[in-house]
Amino acid sequence: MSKKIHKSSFRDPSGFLFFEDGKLLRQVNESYHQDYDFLMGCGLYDKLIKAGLLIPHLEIDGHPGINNYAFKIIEPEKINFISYPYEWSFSQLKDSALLTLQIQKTALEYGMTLKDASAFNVQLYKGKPVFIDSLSFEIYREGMPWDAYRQFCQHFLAPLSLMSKTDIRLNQLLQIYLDGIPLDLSSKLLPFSTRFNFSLLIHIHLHAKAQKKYENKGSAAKNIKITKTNLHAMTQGLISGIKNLQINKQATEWEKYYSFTNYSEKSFKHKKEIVAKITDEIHPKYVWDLGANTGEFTRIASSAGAECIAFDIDPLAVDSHYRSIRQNKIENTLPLILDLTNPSPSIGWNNKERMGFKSRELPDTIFALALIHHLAISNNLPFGKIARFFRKLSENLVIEFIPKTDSQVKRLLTSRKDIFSEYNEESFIREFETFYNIQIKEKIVDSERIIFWMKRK
Amino acid sequence: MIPLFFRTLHVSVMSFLPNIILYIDPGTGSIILQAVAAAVAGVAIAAKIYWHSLLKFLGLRKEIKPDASAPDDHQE
Repeated sequence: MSKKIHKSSFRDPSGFLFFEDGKLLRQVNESYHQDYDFLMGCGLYDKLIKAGLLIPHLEIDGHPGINNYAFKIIEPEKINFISYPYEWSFSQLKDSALLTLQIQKTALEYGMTLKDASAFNVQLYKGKPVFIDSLSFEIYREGMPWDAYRQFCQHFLAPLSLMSKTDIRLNQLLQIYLDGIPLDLSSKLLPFSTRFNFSLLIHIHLHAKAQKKYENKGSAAKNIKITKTNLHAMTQGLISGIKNLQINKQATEWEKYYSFTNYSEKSFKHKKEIVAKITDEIHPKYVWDLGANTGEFTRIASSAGAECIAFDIDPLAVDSHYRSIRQNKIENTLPLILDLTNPSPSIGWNNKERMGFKSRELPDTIFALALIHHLAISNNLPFGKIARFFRKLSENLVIEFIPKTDSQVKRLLTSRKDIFSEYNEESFIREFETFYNIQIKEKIVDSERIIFWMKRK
Repeated sequence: MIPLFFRTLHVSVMSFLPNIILYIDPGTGSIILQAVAAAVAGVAIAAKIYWHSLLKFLGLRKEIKPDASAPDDHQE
């Protein structure tokens, strides 16, 4: 029987995650006994499960545990693809923040509180955020402050306000600051006008000042007591403050891609038909759509029953895709922000705490539609390197070749010298055939673009 | 004005709390600020409820909104 402790599960003394024979289990330590029993017995667990806010778990009877501290072993429902806050769009992070506050509010009503409020306690699962850490609850004692308040502001309010008020791309700071964006930095980066926003004035600007003022006065807060009514009111205030934050519709590269593309309606329809035909041949179970934009082609795979991760570099396209799948209750698609030329690295303690792009569960099929020219021309990547990269990710590759005569490629070349003598169909096929067998090659009508289905050799 | 607010709060909230072992640092400044934020939110909600009750009493409002919330509701 193989047992391995999860690389990111070491901070909380209440327990940890471990793998056993391919299953992900959680050891609940004796020190968490009382809180765990209270969570399960007071009705909070059932309430959160019924509302779809918390990941359900099964209790494994008779399991001895990993060490002498074990009180109980539980098996949480498995989430196949783990994503991180720095890969989420504005609405994904906002919904996760509201989920965390809703859970805190409900927990208070049941006599419990969240002892941490990390964005890493949330996963996007079946189309919406869900809280995954069942050991984050502790019994509330009258007068106690919310110990996770600082963490909540750093993990959620700071990035959301920065994305809303300063620049949508600032969610990337979460990749540098794994325990949330420092509030003094957030306060500096936010525009002066945010001092007139009550929620941001209190929870970011004054909060940052208070942190500075009391940074070396550890005992100053020892006797502070906050009534439950006030704590509840503050939680509600944070909910309102976060609900008021909106995405600033900055024009981005991709926002109106489909409206100014050179596709005619006929060729767009034909492209969809080709992708649908190939999908039907492959029967994929798990697809990564690289450069998915708002998911026009991801929907072909998801409708065919495949689990889909739809990556795109543009935060507004990902946000729009996410809102669309939430609205349409699509459970098998997860849109995420990703710069394929600089994918999420393995980071955190020992570079193993948060998994890199390629360390996660790899798909059986990749869609790389209208992508190759961005990699080869905008990023100067030779076809051989691109083919080698894709080969390591999946068995099937559905890829679109876009020639230099295409207006999208011409647009990329307008402001630079054409140094891409090898950018042609012949070189493309030659380089990719080193690693793949071409199964289907079909030209899109009314265009010079070609769709290929290739199978790894 | 703000430091005075913190000082006033600081001396007015002396009371006993059991020792709880924390595994994340709540931050001294964060707890103090939180006490201010929670007090303000509490007062705001109470004021809102009284205001709605008054309007109801005067016959100007039919019923209190079920989702009474903090003053942030009216920001922006």
